[in-house]
Amino acid sequence: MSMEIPYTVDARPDTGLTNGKLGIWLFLASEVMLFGALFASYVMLRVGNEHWPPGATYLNIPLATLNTVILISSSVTMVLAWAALAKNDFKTFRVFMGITILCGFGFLTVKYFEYSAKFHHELFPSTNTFLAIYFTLTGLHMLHVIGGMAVNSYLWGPGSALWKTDPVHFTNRVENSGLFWHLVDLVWIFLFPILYLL
Amino acid sequence: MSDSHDAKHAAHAGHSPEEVDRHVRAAYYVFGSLLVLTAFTVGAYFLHLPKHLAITLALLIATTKGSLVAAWFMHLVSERKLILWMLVLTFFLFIPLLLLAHADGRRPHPPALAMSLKGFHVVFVTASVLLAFGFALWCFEAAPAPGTGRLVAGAVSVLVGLGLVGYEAWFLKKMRSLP
Repeated sequence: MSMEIPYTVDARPDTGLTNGKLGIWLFLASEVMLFGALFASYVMLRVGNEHWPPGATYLNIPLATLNTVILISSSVTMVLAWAALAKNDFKTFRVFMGITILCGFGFLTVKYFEYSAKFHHELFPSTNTFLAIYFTLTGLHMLHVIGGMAVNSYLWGPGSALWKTDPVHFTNRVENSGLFWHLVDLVWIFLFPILYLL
Repeated sequence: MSDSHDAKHAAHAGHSPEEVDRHVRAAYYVFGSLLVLTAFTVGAYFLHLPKHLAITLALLIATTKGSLVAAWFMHLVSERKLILWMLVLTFFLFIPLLLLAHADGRRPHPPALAMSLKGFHVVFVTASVLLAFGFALWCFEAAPAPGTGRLVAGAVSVLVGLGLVGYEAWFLKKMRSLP
């Protein structure tokens, strides 16, 4: 016996939202608290240390700038992917969603080179407090990038079968996935100056 | 598919075709703005500004960029009030988290906004009380009329809320006797 989840297409009368959208926003609120706790830890560690190294001592600013541009671009392609579905253009959706996923791979590749360089120079989370919080924040953010890519890849591939049977439901799923992806972008927008430039 | 079908599909997804076009146009403008602001952020770094000015400027630019992403990419400009209120609540819970950074009582001169761990605990217990009673209210009042499951959940939530109120009163009384 299957049980259908209600209000995936039509908005609930009391909230005015689909359950999926309300759910993803609640999840994003919890994510804000998660990263908020880590940002607070960063502030605490930084003000508690008399000598705090400038980010550029250890980190590569050009690579991080490249990653910023990649994530910002992926946010735009995510919007374009959703907009294509909302205008009933599935082929264009796949193109833009594909580019979004590729941008995710690009971000991870740059991160791989960054992390490799650190490890090559024997710079680990245990080396000092700055690197500990750097690896914690960027590592957690990277896990979110991987999570977002996994969902986007599912929606690009097998999950897109839903488009044929229930296009509005599928469009809503892509919108919700996009909301998560934009949060990943938003978190990086703050991580970049805090860790690399200050 | 026909144009009328397209329009119906878009409208059913919660956005009219005109609204979608507006979002796309805005996305391009926001994209350009984000690139320019990123260039400003990096450029400001190479100016080697005084530390406090550099921090203020970097956070100001990051906040502007974040607001653009939230407003236009995440559609907050046209989103339901429920979501906005949820984010406002998150923001007010986020503030004590930041103040916790100053909770280290060993420092001789803690900043004026310092919040102790005790205060932090009380803030979150109060938030939990509000959440429990709010959830109970939703269980009893939200449409459609509640079934047995929602009535039980509401009753449990009221009990949890009352328990938390009792705990908070006990905690505050006990804390008065501690340094």
